[in-house]
Amino acid sequence: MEKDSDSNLVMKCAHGDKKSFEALVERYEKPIYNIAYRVMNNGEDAMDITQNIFMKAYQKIDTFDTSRKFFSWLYRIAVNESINYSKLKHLTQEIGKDKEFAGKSPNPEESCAESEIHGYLQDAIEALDFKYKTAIVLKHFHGLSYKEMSDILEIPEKTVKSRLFTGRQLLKNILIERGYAK
Amino acid sequence: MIPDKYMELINQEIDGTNSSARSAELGEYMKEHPEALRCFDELNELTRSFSQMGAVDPPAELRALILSRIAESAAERSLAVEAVATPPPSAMSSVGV
Repeated sequence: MEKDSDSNLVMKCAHGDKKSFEALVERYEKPIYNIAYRVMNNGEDAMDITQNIFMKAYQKIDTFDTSRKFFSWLYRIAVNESINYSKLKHLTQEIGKDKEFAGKSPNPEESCAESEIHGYLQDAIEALDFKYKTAIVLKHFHGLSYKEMSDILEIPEKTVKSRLFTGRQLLKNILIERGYAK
Repeated sequence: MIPDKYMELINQEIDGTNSSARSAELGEYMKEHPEALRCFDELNELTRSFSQMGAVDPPAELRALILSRIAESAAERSLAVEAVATPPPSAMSSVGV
């Protein structure tokens, strides 16, 4: 049986069909979790953020413009929610009210010795400023085009390219500084 | 120092968005400028590493957590709608119903 398009599911959901939203969750749970995971470098945070993203999407589904791509809209919520969560987390850590937050949950990749380099890379991504980090994550972990990134981030394609190119250069510098690259 | 124009071409080459003419132009430049070739190789290796990292599977319980929060939210919303639709008797009498 042919799968419902995103637009169909969104329309059904806006008319109160909860099953349609479940289908959207099933379809986008993994990519959305991966955005949060790559941006935060922490599985627990990614879990929280992913839940918040889908809650926001559900609450605002009737404001979605069906002439646009659903995934762009959802990814935009994901980026904004990750930024907000990250700011809140830093603030919480700074005022020292929640020391437990500072600890990272076990990273599935860290348990595997052969993935050590991936751990270095993920740590380097984490060190980037948010605007570069999101550009790297959307391009390299989600394979989006400059145009799609421009829609999601609501910035001109030229700025997308500039952030992506600078982000890569900064990453390279971080890896060199940390002795992981020549 | 690699000029901005060639840095842009290097990055676009990595993203596969250069036209064939631009690719050829970059190729010519890199032949004469080994630092540009080195930069291209380094950035290319970096981006290849990303693709090898692949996607992480979300925890098995995540979907259930999302759907349970949504069910709670939907229940709250329908309670709120009901409350608006049926105002308490005191509110009705105060407007002379």
